[in-house]
Amino acid sequence: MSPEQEAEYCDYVASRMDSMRRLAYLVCGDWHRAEDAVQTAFVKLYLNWTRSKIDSMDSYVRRIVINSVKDVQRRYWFRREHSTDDLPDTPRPSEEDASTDRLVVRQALARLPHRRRVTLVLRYWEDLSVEQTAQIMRCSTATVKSQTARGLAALRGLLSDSLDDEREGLKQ
Amino acid sequence: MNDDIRGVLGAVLPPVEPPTRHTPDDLLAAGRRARRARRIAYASTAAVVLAVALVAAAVVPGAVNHLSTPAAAGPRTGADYPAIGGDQYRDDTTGTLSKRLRTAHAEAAPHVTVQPATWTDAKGKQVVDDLPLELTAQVDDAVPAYFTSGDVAEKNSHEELAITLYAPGTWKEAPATTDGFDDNGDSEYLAWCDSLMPVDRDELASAIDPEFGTCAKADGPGGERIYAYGTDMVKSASVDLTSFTVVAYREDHTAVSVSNRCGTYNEKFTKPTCDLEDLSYSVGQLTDLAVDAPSIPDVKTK
Repeated sequence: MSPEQEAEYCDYVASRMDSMRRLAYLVCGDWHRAEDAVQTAFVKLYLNWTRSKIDSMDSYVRRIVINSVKDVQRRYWFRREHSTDDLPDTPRPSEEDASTDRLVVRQALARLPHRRRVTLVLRYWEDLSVEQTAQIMRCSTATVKSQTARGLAALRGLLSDSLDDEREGLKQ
Repeated sequence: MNDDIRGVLGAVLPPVEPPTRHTPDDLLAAGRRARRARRIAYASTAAVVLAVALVAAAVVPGAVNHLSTPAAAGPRTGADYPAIGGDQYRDDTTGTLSKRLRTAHAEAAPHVTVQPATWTDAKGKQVVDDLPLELTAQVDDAVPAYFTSGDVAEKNSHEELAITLYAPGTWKEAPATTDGFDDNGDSEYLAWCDSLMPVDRDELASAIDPEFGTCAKADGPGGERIYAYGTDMVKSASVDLTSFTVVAYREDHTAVSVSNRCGTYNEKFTKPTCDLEDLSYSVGQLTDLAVDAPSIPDVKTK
């Protein structure tokens, strides 16, 4: 890669780093995994930089980020399967993190199936069209529409359940 | 409505985000390293192929003619073979690991108490059998049947042996980077390689290069096409995963993956404890297990 191309690459990374981290975080709910996924995505982008077209670059990087999140989750298989006699330390939320609303929404989002979560994040957080979302997820527009509808319905249900629970807790 | 939902999603983000660990310059350096590693791997493979061709040409004069013959075909894929139809299902699938496989397992990890075997379908449903190393399950069409021996570690980390059987039509035989995902976001490739090194079966272990993503490929005794590779991944502050995996693509159009994996994860960012040399199984033993793994029984029509 020429020095000019490397400079373009660095400019692009600097301009997209934060938004891609947020995208990855919303999909996986873990800053460490999000960071790993974004690192993987930008390294792959470097390897394909000369073939990349500026106008489709965002879409390309989003797709790698989404796939990398899945890949990073695979690497964490042992976290899921590890059995131990000791109970793990439960991370204590920080003051900024302790907002009830944030925890409720985060838990609701985490309970959505992976594809529905990805669909909602791409459609409503990234503000992409059905067609753009389908292109990134490599599926049909009909699939995006059905995943969106089901995802929204599930999210509404989960959020209302959580709020009901919260109200019950306040009454007691 | 869009703004409402965007607001809900935005509520997940904390007001102050943690600082990023990577600068654009870090990523540029990582990209350069990855490109250099890939080139070295390709160059190594090309050098070996060229050396083999030159030796063949010197020993067998006629062989030089074959050098100009176009490749017969690209990598085969499970999709090239008849897939299991939507109206068919596999019922009461049973398989018993051979005596040789049991012996190999016991020899590789004598300290291990083998836990009851489980089949797991892709939806995470597990069926526990009382008999160790025997398999029984009902699995859906085109879903890889999964068997794991459970925890085989006596170290602080978690180690396991996983044997996965893949039905016809559910895999692709090709070295691939993790870009090879299907529409569901799942990888269709059973071996993750950036390059491939053809060798004899007893040279599989020495030809693997986890750092450069080099897989080794050899022919098996029953016509299997055997791929072996290792991973020495992540090495970030809190995560480590090492593995040796052998994949055998079999003549009956099924495939089997045998993987010995060791992982460490801890929130306290202490040093990871899994190294490739600590894995309980050698590549040779994993190859024996792959060759001896049970076949997938015939598909019954519902």
